[in-house]
Amino acid sequence: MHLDNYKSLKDEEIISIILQEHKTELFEILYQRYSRKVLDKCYTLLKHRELAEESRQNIFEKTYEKLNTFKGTASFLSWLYSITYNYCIDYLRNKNKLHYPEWNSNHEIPEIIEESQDDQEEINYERLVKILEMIHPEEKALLLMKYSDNLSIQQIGQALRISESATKMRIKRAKARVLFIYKEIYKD
Amino acid sequence: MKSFYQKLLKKDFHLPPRQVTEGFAKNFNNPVNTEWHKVGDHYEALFHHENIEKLAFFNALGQMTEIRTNQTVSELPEPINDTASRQGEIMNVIYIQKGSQNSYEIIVKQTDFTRKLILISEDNEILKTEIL
Repeated sequence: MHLDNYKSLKDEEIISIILQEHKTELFEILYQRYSRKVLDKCYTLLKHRELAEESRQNIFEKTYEKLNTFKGTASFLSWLYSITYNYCIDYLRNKNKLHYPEWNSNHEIPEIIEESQDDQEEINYERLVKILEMIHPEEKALLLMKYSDNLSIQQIGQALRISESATKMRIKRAKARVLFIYKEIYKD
Repeated sequence: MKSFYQKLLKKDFHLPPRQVTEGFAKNFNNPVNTEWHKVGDHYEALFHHENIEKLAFFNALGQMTEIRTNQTVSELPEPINDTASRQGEIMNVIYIQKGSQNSYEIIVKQTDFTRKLILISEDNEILKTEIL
């Protein structure tokens, strides 16, 4: 079977053929399409090249095993990203013993700053990149999932194993923290 | 990457009907950074109030039907803390006020890879459990 014959198909069509006709080799097309994105996501969270590559392999294996649970209510890429975040955050929680509630208690936000439309015009994006590296990895992951990868609240909650209410509140807190740190460090 | 930051900082200007915003203002003094969403026939406000994250729900008449407040583990009444702790390490607490039925939504960590949601009433009765 020549994969080229199937490369123009959409993700959902490829998945359907894999599941119904057992043409499992077609999974290679999905791997080729999204391998780089998943690797970049892993590196953003794990900050270690070899670990990111190993994690990418494990994530695609997991995705293949779970393929029959893909419902198609969101895009395949969103679903793949939620598996990616879940894997990386689980790794960080287990390996580094990250404890978000404890970290959060020790890093109270002294002031919740009112967001203004001017922020968009004044903000320096390079500085925001640095601030994102200063907050807890779980808060960084929350903000990336919501504002970069456009995952739904439900997907984010499932990835981090928290409720939808907790997801909304933690995103709110993470956003407030980023803004506070920005104003504090770059007062001018 | 720039679009990520633009979305992060974008202020939500989707206000609900005036009755709802008036109902909100009656219940909360000086809320900060309120975000509104329509959920079915209800309106949900996500905001900071006195530095705490809250979710408040309103019907179309502007009557508040539920409020959820983020809490720390130390704010949990001791009996409820004990009940939840028997199931795992407490990782998140949300206090739910809904009519005359108040409860706590608690997430516990059972192992490194399993978490459970437990809903406990103010009377310390377990109402619901769910593996996350």
